[in-house]
Amino acid sequence: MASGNFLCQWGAQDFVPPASNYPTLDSRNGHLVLDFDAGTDESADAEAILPAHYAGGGLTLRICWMASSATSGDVVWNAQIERQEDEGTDLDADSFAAAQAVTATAPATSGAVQYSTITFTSGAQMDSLAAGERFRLRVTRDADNGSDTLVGDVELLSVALIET
Amino acid sequence: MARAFNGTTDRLDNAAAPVTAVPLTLACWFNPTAVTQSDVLIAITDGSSNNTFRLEAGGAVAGDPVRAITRAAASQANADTSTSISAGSWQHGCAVFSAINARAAYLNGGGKGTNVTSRTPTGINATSLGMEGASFEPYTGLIAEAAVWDAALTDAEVAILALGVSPLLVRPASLVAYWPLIGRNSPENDRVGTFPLTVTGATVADHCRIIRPRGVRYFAVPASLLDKSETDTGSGADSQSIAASFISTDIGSGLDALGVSSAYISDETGSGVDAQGVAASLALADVSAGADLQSIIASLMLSDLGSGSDGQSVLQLGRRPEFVSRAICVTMPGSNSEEPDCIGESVF
Repeated sequence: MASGNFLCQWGAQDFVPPASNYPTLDSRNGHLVLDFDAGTDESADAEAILPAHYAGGGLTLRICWMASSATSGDVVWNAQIERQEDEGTDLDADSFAAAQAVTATAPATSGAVQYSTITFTSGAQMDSLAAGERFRLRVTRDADNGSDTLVGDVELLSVALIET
Repeated sequence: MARAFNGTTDRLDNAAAPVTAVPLTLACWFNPTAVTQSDVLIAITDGSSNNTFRLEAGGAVAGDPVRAITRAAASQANADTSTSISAGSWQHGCAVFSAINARAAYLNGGGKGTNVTSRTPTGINATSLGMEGASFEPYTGLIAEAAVWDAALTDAEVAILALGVSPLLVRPASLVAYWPLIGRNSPENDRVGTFPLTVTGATVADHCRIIRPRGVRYFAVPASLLDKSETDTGSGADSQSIAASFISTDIGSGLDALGVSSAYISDETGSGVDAQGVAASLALADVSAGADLQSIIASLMLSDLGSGSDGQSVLQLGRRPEFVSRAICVTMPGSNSEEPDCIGESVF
């Protein structure tokens, strides 16, 4: 029974910013966060190896986040996976699979954490990533999406990858 | 976040200096509002500006360079970059003072300018960012990721910093002060030393792009992934890629207990390759011809009569009569290579 098993987790400090349009480091009451601006899409990347005990059931990404100040409105989170298989993907260029998304509502209390999930079915949605393979995860605030109505920054605390 | 300086009164300072003489390196990311005057980014001084090591944005100088300045008894020597600062964007400045007569300035890891005039500052006892002392050359713009080393970084190391790599990852043994300037703490924390910076006015702003030391946390395999087999007579591959496996009697010729975090084989007579790539394994009786107990962290083989290459590439190997942290081998009738390729301790 592999469903529900936590596979790996990254904090705000574990992300690598791309060359442009990246969220910026910030601290909120001592909690390190990544600030994603409103209006312009910003992305951050994390890397890992998919653990050997992944049983092929697909992946669920759990995003822990807050709104900098808003207590209403929706944010659109995108997530993508880039498989780096043996003698396969050329890392000189990005090769992410299509984004999977979730639209999530800001907590009614400023400073409260919101948990939102994005699911990847096994196969193309997760770039056909297999256990034991290295991969990159890109998390994006789709700020220019019409459904992203949350005013101001959203703050990413951490993300966890779980077997669906 | 970063710190924004207003060009008049804003500064960060400490009444002590993390380094007082060459060799030393000063570096930071900065985003100037304008490039029309010369502004202090980081200064290690005697408090009077007569003696100082300074990293400066030279907006009042022809070519708008980054400057590495040594000032002694009010007499100054400068190294200026061959490239120019630009307003409104993040860029990396670095000043390397390798000797009293050798200094270099870098902008974005390049444009290196050097100077060999001898100057020996004395009485160095203070640190300031965004201004020297209480009023000299106040800076207008943003500063982040400021750092001081008690060594002269190489050209290659300066280039790494300019890629956005955190100072924590560049010659960390010589890093004597590092202020990320996240902007939420007052005083601003020194992450490696004991030189917090008192904040005077400098406000919070968006941080620069930085690649921090990072990692990923993996979760332990849950108990539901344990595997147990009382008697394995099959020739098939068994118990692979799991957290733990237990085989009471293994007479099968198949591959067993591979890629697991721990394996236990009570009586192993099979000819198959067993217990490879595991964190720990225990084989009470090995009479098989197969290669066993390879590439593992710890292993115990109480009786090895097999001809296979055993116990290789292990960190610890224990053999009869008892499991210990070092390998004890009373008899090794096996015909193949037994000695581990890599072992913590072994006694034969």
